[in-house]
Amino acid sequence: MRVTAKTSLTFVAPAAVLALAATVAGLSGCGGAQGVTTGASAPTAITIRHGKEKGEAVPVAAKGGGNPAGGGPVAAAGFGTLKGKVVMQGTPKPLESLTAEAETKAPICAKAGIPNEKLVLGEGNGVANVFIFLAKAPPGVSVPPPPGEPVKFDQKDCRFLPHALIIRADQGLRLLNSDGVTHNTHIYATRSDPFNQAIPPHDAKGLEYQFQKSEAKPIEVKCDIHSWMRAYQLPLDHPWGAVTSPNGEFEIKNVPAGTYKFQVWHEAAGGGGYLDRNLEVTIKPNEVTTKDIPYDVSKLEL
Amino acid sequence: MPATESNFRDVKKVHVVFAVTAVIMLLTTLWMMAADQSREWTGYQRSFEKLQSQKQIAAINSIEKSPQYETSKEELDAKKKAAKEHLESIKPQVDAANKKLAEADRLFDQVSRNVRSVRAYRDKARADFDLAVRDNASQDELKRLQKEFNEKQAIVDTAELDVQAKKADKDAAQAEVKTLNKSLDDANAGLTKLNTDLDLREKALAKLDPTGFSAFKKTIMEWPIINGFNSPLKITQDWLPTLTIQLGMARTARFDRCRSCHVGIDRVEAGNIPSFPMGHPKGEGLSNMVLENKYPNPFGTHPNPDLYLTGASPHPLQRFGCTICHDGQGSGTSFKDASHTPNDPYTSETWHEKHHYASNHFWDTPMQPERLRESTCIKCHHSVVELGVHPTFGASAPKLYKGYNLIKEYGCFGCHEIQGFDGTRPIGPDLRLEPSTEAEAAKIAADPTQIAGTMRKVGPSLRHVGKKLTPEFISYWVEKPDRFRPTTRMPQFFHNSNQDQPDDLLGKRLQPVEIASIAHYLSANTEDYRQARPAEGYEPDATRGKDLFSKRGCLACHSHEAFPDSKATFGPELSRVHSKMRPGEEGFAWVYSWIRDPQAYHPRSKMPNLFLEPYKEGKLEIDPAADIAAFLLQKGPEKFQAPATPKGEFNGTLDELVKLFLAKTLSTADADKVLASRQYPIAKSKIRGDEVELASADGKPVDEKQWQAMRLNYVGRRTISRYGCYGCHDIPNFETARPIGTTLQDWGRKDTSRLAPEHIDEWLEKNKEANGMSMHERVVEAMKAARGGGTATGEFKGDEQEREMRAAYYYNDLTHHGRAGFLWQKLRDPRSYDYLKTETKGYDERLRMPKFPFNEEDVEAISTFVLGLVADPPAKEYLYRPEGPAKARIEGERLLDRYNCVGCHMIDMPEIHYAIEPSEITGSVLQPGDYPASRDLLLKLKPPRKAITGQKQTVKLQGADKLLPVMRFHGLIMNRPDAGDPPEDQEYAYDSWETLDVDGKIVFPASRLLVKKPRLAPGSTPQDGYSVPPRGGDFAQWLVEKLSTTRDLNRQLAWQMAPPPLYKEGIKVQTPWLYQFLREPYRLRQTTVLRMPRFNMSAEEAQTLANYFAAVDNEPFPYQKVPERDPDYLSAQTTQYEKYLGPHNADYLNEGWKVFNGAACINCHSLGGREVKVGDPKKDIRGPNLEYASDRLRPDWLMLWLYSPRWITPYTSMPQVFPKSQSASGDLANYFGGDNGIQAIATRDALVNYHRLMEEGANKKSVAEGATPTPKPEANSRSGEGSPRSRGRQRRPSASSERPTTGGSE
Repeated sequence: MRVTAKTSLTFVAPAAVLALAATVAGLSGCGGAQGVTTGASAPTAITIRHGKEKGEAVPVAAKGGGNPAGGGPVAAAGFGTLKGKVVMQGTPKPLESLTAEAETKAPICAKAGIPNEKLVLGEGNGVANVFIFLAKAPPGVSVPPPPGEPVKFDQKDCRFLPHALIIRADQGLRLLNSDGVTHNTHIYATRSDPFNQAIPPHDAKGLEYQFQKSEAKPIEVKCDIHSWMRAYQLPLDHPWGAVTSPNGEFEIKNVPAGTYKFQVWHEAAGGGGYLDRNLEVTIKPNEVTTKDIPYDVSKLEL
Repeated sequence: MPATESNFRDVKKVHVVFAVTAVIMLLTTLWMMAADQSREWTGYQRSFEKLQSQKQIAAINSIEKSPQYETSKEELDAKKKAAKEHLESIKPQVDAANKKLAEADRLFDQVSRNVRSVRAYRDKARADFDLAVRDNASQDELKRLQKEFNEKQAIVDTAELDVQAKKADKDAAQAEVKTLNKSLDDANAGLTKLNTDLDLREKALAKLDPTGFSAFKKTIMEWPIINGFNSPLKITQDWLPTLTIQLGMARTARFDRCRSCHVGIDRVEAGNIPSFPMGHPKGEGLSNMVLENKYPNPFGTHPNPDLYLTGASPHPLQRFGCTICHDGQGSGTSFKDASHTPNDPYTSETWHEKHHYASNHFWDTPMQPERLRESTCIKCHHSVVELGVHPTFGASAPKLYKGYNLIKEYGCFGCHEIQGFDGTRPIGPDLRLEPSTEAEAAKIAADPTQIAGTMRKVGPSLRHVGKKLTPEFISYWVEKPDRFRPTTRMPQFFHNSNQDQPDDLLGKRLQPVEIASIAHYLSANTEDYRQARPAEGYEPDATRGKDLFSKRGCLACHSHEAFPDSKATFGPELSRVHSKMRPGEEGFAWVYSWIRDPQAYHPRSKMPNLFLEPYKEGKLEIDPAADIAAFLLQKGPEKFQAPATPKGEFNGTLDELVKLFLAKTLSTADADKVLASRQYPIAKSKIRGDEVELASADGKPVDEKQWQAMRLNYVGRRTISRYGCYGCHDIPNFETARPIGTTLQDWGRKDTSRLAPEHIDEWLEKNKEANGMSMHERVVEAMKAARGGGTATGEFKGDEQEREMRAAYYYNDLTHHGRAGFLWQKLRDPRSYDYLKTETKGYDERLRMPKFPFNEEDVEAISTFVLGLVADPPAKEYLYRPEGPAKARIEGERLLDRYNCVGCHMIDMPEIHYAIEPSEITGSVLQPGDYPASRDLLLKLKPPRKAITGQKQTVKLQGADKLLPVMRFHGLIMNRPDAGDPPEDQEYAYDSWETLDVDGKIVFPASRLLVKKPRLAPGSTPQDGYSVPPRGGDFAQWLVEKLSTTRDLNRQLAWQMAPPPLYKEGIKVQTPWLYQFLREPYRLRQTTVLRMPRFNMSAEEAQTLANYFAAVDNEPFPYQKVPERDPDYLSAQTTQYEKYLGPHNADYLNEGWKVFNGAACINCHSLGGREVKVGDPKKDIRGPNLEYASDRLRPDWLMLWLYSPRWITPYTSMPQVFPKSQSASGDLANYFGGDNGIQAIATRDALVNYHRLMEEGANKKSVAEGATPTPKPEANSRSGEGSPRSRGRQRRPSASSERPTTGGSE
């Protein structure tokens, strides 16, 4: 069986991008409740929001004064968009829900149910929570600054929201706790100082963590008190990466034209999580390049 | 005979004779003077003077030419010039000021003079008055005189006032002049300061190389006769009256004149840096030495001035001299007379050419050659350990330490006693077996003139060996142990060079019977012991056993082919253990019982009790010991063949041996009779010796079968006795047997005429070395290569020169009947001294020392130790006998080795060295969650260490080579480079474990340090990127690798499941707790996959080890103060936080109790009988039970842990529970105003006072039922209840395993 991406799917309006990102954050894929609703107030958008906010699909470097680096503008080649869908081939074995485990440890956690998010499949066998990103910013391209606002990272119903997240390394990460129990957010960064601090119940203000360095691949976030809680975060020093939506779709905008090797990573994949380390894609200026990524269930370690 | 005018001899002739003898005398005198003037040492001293002056000149030049100096000088000169010009421009003003000063000065002088004269008048008036009083003058007269005095005094007062005024005028004028001249004065002062070093050097130079009159004076002082009066060239003598030396029959003060030639030996510069670093310059001549800054003997400075010669070192020259360490003839003043010893025959040749060197046989203690130099250290360092491991000096005598460890490992002392005491007077290192029975131990303990040995026998007990092995295997093993297990330490007693010569038919015939009799004796005399058994019907699972074998710690000491990357060698290699065990149930029962309870089988075994108790996983019952036994035995037993004897010969040969041994006690005829009659002539009860085996209980003849067994037993017992097997093994009936070998405590001074090299030359000629040559040919080849230039010209490859020259040295020494050579060959092939001797010796007189698997390097290490055993200790004050922490460290180090603590635990963390650009390191800042108080505590508990090593490393940066400083830190690897990245991007990530001081910038522990691969210091291990490997913890690292490759574990979590590093353990645990824990360990960490085993150690040893950790970290031991339990402290805290306590009507401790009972702690920690709720036991993190914290942890450590756990253990899952940036929420908001900082302190205090709180709460309400004990209304109501600490002592932890008794805490 092979399902290809719907090439017609395009989001243009900024609100729609936010909606996509918020859905990424909210969906469990196992029939779990949607935790975060769409809305402009939810800055959980994680991809390429920069530039789109201004409603212009023009080269970032060319924006007047928008780039503090002010370095040489990118070659006139321009920018394009990469989009596509990650699709599972074959049928994986069903995962056990984590609710029973949560029930034993802290009944309050189990109320909303704890889906197993190790593999979340959406419509048409699309794989959610796949990271598609460039390992490094293309040389000679001036990297737009990160959004000023920190990304929110919540703990709700004893789950991390969102489960998979791309963030700019120099952007803040605001850690919240919507639950009535203490969580400790343990960020197992490999290149930045790890973070491990208890977040008290109902902490809506939260506290801010800042990665010091980008990572080569997504890192784990865990709560040591509730051992099933797990999320993945990828701090990058550039904006060219995305996490697939619950349906397995992704879109990376404003990619400088050129040929790149994208990294494709998923938590359940064997071999360090890489599905593909050399996904070669050519981005043409002002065009939408579509790349579908099928992969076989045998690549998973469940 | 009448007197005559004539001369007796012809005057003319006599004159000639006189003239000639006078001339001869004169010439002889001149020759004597010339010879005296040109003695070796004067030449060296003159050369050294030249070296010094050249060095000074070079230093002066380098200072003057350095850009800093030039710029500073230019700047200052310019300033000076500008100042002068400025003064010139304001000349009228300056002149006026000077004039004013001169005038003020004149006036001041004037009034000063005046005041002196009026004071004289006043003094005269005073004297007049005094005289009048003496002469009883009238009252009127007295009054008049007093008035006169008063007048004069008034004049003085006025004058003095005037002086003060004039002085003020003068000072003002002076200040004005000074202000005007300030810029010039500053410039001059700067120049003087800049030139200080130069001036000093120039002065020194002038002294060394004087000119003009001084040069003339110096030359005169060196003239003959005049040089008897304080000449600059003279013999330097160190007189050491208390460091005596044995000369023939007398002990006398030591005179070391070594410094007469070794002139630069003690020259150091500021910071204890050698002024004349030892080395061999490539170029010839003195100027090259200065140029390359390498100085050969005798000009060089002694290496390692921190340890030797300097006043600040432990061996100052004035106190120790030279020959106490180096040996040699200290009074000698020539190269030859000093009894130098060459390091190899080639050096000997070159010395002969250069210095006419020849070995001096008449000096008892010639200098040690370089290769054996470390041997003399043990004259004073009887405990040896400090020479291998030392916090300041590292391994100062590594070769000696290696030899010492080899002796301990192979148990040489089982046969060769090394007695460290003469009565109770220490004479050297002590390596003796411990008393073998309790009765003997008690006897020695009661005798004030004896000190008991401490070493355990190195081999396993053979008391119950029949339960473990078949006689066939014992025979097979004894014949050639390394055939079964190549890594074994058991030496080879049979088939050696004095048993297996082709024409030695006797040896061939007797050996199999000897071996069979040993096996028979051991099997027949096996005693029963209590065996543990798995539960009835339990079915062991070998696959699970394999997993348990790897996780439960077996691999910390043993290796097994199923785990090829684990290479522990402390215990035997276990891959083939299945093949040797008794087949079937018996073998399984033995292994099961052994791993469940090793001491039941062997009371002195070092194998610990691993607590392999059965447990349940869900409904599944698991007996780990049974599973592990099944894994070890799964390949099943093998059959082994005892060495064969031609059929029909066995009994005859057995008789031959019986007769051989019996003939020592009976006559040959009687022995024959015994053999013929199968009856021993003496009653069994009356026999003292081994012959008891031949006597039947009733004294009657026995049947053939019994006789066979009795004969085998007898020969076996005699053979064991002859070979001294009981030196390493516990064997029935040998409890009181004495070691069979020569004692070694003074072997280093053994009379060489008593060594018996016998036909060793012939043996070495006949027996071929590894390279196919005879020893002689090997040495001839080596000498040829050395003369050809050695390694430098490619004559030797790799480390060949070292190896071949070593062989040459010992061979040469052996042929000259030296001790070193004798020992060398003895250790290489112990029986070779029997070559062509067996023909004329009885079989039982043949040499018995077995052959050990030592290589030539090992042999040299052992020789270094043994040759240092001279039993000639210097005066007591020179012996190194530390007390306090230093002693605790040494004793502790010994135990770390003895029990292989380092198999599991890292004692020293690994170190990473890498090149940095100083700007890359930014100092750490407190994060929003951190308290300033926690920073202070951190700096106290983990003081910053200087991270910049001072070394430099060349690194390619953007294509260009750059020399960067090297930084070091202790830490663990957290992420390895991705092999897919380009080499220059490959990056290691580490967690630093210590506080670092990087050029004044403080870097906190747990900082993630990223190191690009090319930046790592050369020589780092590629796998871990460690420049200095960790000390110990191989198993922990192995386990972390194994665990972290499974999906659900990252390295941080894997580390929490492995044995923890014992880094800074001393700042953490209370010593009494550690003592108890070592004696009776309980399950402390819930996350580890294994638990601390119980070692077979005495109470004294546990105490020593507990003290060790405190001593290492400079913490007090054995007892600690816990001021947080002091009622005064608690009432002060109560007062301080009173405003928070009011609303609850609570006291401080109870309030703290509520905080630590809050959700934050009990999510992970069990407490007061309440277990943590567990979701998934494999994934859930659980901390130690908090009820142990009170006795276990030191309060400061606990405080820092609560503030910022990652600073102590970077990989911990313990979160920062009380961050400064947050205030407490939920229930916790009610306590201490929700202030996290106070809550942290209160939690610590409540934990420290845990027992007190439990006791108080227990009266009201069980803690297990609710979260809090009922608070007391008043804080001070406690003080009347007696000492809380004494109550605390009675509390016991109450979980599964056996509990320790808690130590006192004062």
